[in-house]
Amino acid sequence: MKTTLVLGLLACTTLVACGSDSDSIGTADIVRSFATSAIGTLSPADAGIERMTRARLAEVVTPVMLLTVDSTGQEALIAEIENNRGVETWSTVDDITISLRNGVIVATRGFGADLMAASGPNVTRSGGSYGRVHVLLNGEDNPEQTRFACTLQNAGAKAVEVVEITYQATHMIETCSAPGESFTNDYWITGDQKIRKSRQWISPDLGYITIADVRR
Amino acid sequence: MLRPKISTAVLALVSAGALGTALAQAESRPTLNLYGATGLIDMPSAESQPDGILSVSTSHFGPISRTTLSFQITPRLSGSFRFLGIRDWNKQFCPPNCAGANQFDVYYDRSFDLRYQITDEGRFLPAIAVGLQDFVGTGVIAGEYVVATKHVVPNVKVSAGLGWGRLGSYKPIGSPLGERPPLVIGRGGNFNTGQWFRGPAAPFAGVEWQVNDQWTAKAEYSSDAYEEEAARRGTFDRRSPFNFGIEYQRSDALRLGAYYMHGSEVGIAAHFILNPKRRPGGGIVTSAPDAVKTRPSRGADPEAWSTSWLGDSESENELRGRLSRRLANDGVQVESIRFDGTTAQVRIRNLTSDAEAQAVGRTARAMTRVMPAAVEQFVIVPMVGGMPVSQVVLRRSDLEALEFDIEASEKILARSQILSAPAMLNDGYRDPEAYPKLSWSLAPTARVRVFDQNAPFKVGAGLELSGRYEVTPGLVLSGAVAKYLFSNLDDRPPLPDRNGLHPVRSASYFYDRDGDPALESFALTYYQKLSPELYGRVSLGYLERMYGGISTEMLWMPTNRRWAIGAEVNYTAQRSPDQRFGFSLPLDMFQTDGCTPSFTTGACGARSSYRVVTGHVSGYYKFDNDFHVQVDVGRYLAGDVGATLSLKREFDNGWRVGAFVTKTNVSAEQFGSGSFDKGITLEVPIASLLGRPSTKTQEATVRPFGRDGGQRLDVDGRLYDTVRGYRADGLTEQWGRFWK
Repeated sequence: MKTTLVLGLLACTTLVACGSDSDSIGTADIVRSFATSAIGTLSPADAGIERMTRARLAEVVTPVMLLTVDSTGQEALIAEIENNRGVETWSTVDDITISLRNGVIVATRGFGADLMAASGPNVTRSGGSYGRVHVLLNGEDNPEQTRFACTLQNAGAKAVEVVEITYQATHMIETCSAPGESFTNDYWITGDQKIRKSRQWISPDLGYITIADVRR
Repeated sequence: MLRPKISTAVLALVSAGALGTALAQAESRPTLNLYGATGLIDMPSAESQPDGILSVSTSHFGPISRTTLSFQITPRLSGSFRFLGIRDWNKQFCPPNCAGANQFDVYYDRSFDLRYQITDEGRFLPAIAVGLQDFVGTGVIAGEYVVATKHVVPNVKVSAGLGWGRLGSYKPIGSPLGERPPLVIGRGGNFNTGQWFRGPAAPFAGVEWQVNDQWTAKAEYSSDAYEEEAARRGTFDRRSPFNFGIEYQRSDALRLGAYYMHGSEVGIAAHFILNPKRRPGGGIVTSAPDAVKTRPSRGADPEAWSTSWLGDSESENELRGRLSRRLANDGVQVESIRFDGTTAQVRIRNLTSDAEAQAVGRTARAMTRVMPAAVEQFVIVPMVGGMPVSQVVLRRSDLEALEFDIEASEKILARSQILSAPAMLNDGYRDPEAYPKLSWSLAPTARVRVFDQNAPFKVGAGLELSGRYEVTPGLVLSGAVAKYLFSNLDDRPPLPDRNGLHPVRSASYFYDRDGDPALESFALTYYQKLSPELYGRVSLGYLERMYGGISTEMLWMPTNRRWAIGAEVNYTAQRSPDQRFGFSLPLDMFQTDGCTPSFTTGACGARSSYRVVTGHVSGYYKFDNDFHVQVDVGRYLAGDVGATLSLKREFDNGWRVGAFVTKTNVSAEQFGSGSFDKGITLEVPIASLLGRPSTKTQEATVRPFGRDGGQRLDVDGRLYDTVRGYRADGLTEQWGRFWK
């Protein structure tokens, strides 16, 4: 009992706050956070990211898709948890969600620099020009809309690999630009008009994420 | 106007700009100078930092060190507060003459600046700014200037200006606006209006070349002769008016510089830049909220729409339990639930989120997943201190329809109602775990004493054990004990005479020295909402480190208004400096440098105890443009009567930067250095530093002179700041977080 108390106190003195207070913040957290913003982040550790394989997927019972954050290379499986009027919300086990309308991301939650809302195109059509709106929260938590001018074009038939399986798909390229910001999304659409894989822009702080439909 | 001594390179660039041969616009970063103000090396420029930027600069060259806090108050107006230290100050005079200003080996001073940018840089016209340096106070580094800055090519800008005061001391061109009257310092703290832009004026100029995104080279011709520091006191050898520097932008938050100053000294500078409008990583990282669950249509699933559960206490209590479990991950505590027909009213407490709107939004989302389909109206009442302030009335069908709407935030606000909550709410089904509730923490703590004439700052670092026991809604027992593991607060600073005032605050050195461990506070507070717009508070106990007693307060805060009025009356006794339980004052805390105290003769105003009634009437007003003003009129701790004016710029995310002044019937003479109480306040929400949720705010108050006039009781949990975030205007400041 006494040892536990001493150990507990030691844990507290290493500049980390402790207690029953769910909102306790240590001085070290603040110092570390400021140092990171001043000096810059260390390059993300590459170790520990295991690539997804079919063997691992075989152990998963629920139908899933594979989400990859391009900037960090982090992968997670997502499963559909809700459908509100055609918008599907998919979630990782640690509560990060993306919401898709016809396969196009219209919202994310749990990343921090989240896409609050977006109007997306129907990318299974042949192409064209249209406007796209993205809503992010600024540093003062006010929603800010960015209006992008976009074109969608068919880049022809391509073979696309999704975890060891190669699919024949139509590669659709969506190019969007707004003052000071632009992005290019890719969609690989199979013959059944399903998006097998896509790489889509979220926000300047998060960058692109890739979603691959790993269901057979 | 420029004299031939100025380097030909600078002249060539100035004339190039004047002729408009290169029509460059501002594309380079506005940088800071060694005074921590926007400028070149020692000279100012006419640029401004982006609106809201807060910077802390530390710069050193030769014997001179400056530490400056600067704030871009509005897009055009900026201000600075600075600590200045000059080493070797008395080396030419002491010995033998060690009196007055010569008594200090290091001379310390504080100064305030204000700058206003009159015009933006145009295609042909330069940006023009006017500035006052050290405009209030002893005026030792006082100077005024008018300066223009123009880009000649996109990455090269040239500044030229005319300075007065110390900025007009090297090779002046005459006194265009008349003679400069001698400075009447007195006790300092006066506005030296008579001096501004008077006396000799001298030109200065400089050029800044932004080599690439990281590196900048600077060169300037300085109009500051450093008469006192160099010529009279010989603290350094000023050989040349030219300064050169190179600066490195490490990140948006850090800029470093190295300089060759006045042909003889090397200088260095570091600028830490904080942007209240931008969070690290772009947003607060929290787990995703519940997805909104839509209801089946009545025809498809009539069972789901059944209302047979209504009035069944077991079912209703079960719903409370399910909602409670679902919201536990979101940091929302469900206090109680109650059903009125198809309206569900939920009282919640936000435990972790910096944005109340997020707690409300997550509760609404969770309710769509828990409540039977027949429940159409959600009433969410965020509680603070056991008091309901507002109630947010939402239609469930709006939540279902707007979840992925492009204007979800604006539309849900337009379709919901934020009403004043009644003083008494019917209880409904309470969560037995909501009260009583104990929370505690053991965390590192630090106490800083800034600028006590001996050192720029002294610090004590240690641990603080704090606890909070919420007995029933509105009744809180809270306390904190601190123990310092490392401290140099025991070094005795100079203790100037108190001029007959009781040491209500200026004995802080004795509290720092003796209070280890210290019972920082231990008090019982009771909050009560008295009517839909009237709030009350009573606090009893050891209210703060220096005072204990009783504090009572009432606040009238009308809903949907921008103002509030409050009144506070306190009866307190001064605590012993050892900060245990006693109220007797020891003799030594009455010591000053010129007085030996005695209880028998009452020398130095010594008395064995001090009790005082203080109180204020306070008015609060939040302007449209993020500025907030507070006026307090009343009786202060030394028994003096007067008023305090506080002005703050408040960012929606909780950052607040402000300044205050207090003038009471204590005369400038009696007050001592600084003439009257004034200072700067800074409040930084921890969430916005860390990028993850926290309800905590780090607060700092910096006073150039800590004296005894115009001091208030520092009681925790004053009503206005406790409840204002829950009024409609407070809830909607971060309304974007409703959907996050």
